[in-house]
Amino acid sequence: MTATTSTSGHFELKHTHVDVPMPDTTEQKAKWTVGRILAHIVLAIFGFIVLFPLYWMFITSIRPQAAISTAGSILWPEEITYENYIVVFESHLMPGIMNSLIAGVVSTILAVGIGTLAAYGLERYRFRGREDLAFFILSQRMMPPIAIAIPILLLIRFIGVNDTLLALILLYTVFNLPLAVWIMRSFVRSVPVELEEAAHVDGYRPFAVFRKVTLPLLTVGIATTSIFIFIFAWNEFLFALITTTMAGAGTLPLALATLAGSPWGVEWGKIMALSTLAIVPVLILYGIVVAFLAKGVGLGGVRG
Amino acid sequence: MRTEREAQDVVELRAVSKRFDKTVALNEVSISVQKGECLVLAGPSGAGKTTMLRVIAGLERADDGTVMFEGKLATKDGPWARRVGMTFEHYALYPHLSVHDNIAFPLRSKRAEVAGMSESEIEDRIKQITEMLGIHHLLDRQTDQLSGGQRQRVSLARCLVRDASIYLLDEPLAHLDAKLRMSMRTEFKRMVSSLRATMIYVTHDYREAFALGDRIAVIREGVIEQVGTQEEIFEQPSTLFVARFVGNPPMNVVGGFVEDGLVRLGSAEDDDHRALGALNVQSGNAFEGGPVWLGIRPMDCWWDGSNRNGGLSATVRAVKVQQDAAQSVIADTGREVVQATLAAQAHPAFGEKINIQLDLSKILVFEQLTERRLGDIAVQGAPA
Repeated sequence: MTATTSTSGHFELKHTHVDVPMPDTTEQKAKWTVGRILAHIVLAIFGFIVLFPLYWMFITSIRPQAAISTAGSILWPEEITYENYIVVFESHLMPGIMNSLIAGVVSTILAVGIGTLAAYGLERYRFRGREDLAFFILSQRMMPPIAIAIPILLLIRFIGVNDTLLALILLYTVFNLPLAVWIMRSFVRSVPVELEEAAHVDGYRPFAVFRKVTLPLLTVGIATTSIFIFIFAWNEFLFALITTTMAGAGTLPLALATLAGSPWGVEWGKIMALSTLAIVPVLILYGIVVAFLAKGVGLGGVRG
Repeated sequence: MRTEREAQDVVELRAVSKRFDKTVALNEVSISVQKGECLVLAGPSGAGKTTMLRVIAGLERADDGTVMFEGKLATKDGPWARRVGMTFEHYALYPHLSVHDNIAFPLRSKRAEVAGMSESEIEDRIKQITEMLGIHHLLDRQTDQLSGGQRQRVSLARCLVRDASIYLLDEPLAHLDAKLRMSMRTEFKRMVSSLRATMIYVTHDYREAFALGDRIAVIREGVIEQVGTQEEIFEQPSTLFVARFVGNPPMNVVGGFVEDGLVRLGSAEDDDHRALGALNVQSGNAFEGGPVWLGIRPMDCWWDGSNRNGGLSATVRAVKVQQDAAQSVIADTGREVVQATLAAQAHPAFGEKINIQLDLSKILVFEQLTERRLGDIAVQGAPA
């Protein structure tokens, strides 16, 4: 998947896809060299390091509260309960997931949509100060959000959208837009201008060319960028903390923080249940995008 | 053929200039293409051929001058508003579309001449063009499943499928391997004459230009050096550049000067210069004398083993042996390296001094300063 997160898009994906060896042929199976065994051991260790915390999170979420704090096997639960999930689903924390989903999805669509158009303009039209403008856009991302937290809060209150999803959607869109523009710009660059020129000659006006030629070739880039942007929005905590409450438009990260600071002590079971739930949408999105990418690659490379 | 055609200009460029930053890509180019004509733009890479094509297509806007399309001003029209079909050097097939959809693409645009075409009409056109090009069996393929030659045909089909008033073909054969290029050239020629379409064909290969062009425009550094038929370009090149551009091996060029009605080799300052022949001035000529370049094609100069007087004395540097052509000798006159045809019985040794015989009537004389051919001057008679 490294190729999908690179910014060069379609081309490399194509080649990466082709270069993958086929491991299940008998010829390949015979080659269990020392190097290969070592490589698998290293991969297994890394896999364990990455996956074990997730596993632990999951088994903790299905243990009774009492069992979590007592000593026992950490590898599997002696007793399974869905109580933590039931409590989370029935609590005031549940809207947090919905809020996160709405803010994440809407702001991702806006940021990637506007970002793609802006990237296209920046990349395809020559005008004075083009590179300066592009850098100015990126520079908006250089400011640490905490440095402008107070002005942002005042601004949000001033326009009267405090503790609403609209505030979060606006903030996430604005903050992720520079990144969307920059990532999409390199994807746009990877679409040969010649294809657009061919479409012009074939009788299509500029916007029709964008829609019928450029956009279909940017699908991989848009999918990749969307994952990035969505995860940023999904994880965001600071703005959610200062502009929302759990009674209003509070999001999932805020809900998790609320649990950690609850008057009944740290409720690990619920925290882990909510954390497990927090991963699910990202996994689903990832699955969709991967399936989509595989299809996109199958559609053929951009070789002239 | 030519008389059948209407003498109507499909495209006319009037003093068109185009600059990219400080590079002048086109410098006051004026040319017109008549209906039904195949005009070949030939020249080395970077000469401005593609820029000219792009200006005609509307992909570049001329900085100065005007572009007329079927008698109407089109300088500022976008490419979508011009009735042009174009192929691109790297084919530019849409990778997300199948071969069929690539070819259907121009027919599905909102352009006036194809607007409202029904799907069955579109299918008919595609069938017709793909059968002509022998790619009907490829319609369901994706573009990345095609070979170079197949891509080239698909791009040609996409260009020709629409009823355009002019077709612009940018080096369509350049990226094919030598064998395929030869066969495609023949096929192209057949197609060009059967279609009777108006086209501009860009190439850097003079043989392709000669094979396909009704007229050939030789272009160099943004300036059209000469426009003419194959015979005109080959036999009466207007400049030294054109003379060297066509012909393989390239024309020999040796320095000389004209004095008292005689052409002499070398320069006026040399002591050992030798008179080649008398000048025959066919009409009133302003050229009174001075340094000239003498151009003679390798096929018009030879060495048969006998070192008769006259001709060009030179030292043998190499002998080129070819299976399918006469052998030739490469020799050094002390000023220039020249190539001459070898008679079958002649076997020059490396370093040997030989006297290359010249067909004086075939010598072209170019003024050194302007490199323009002195058209009404011919070298004549026996050396003095």
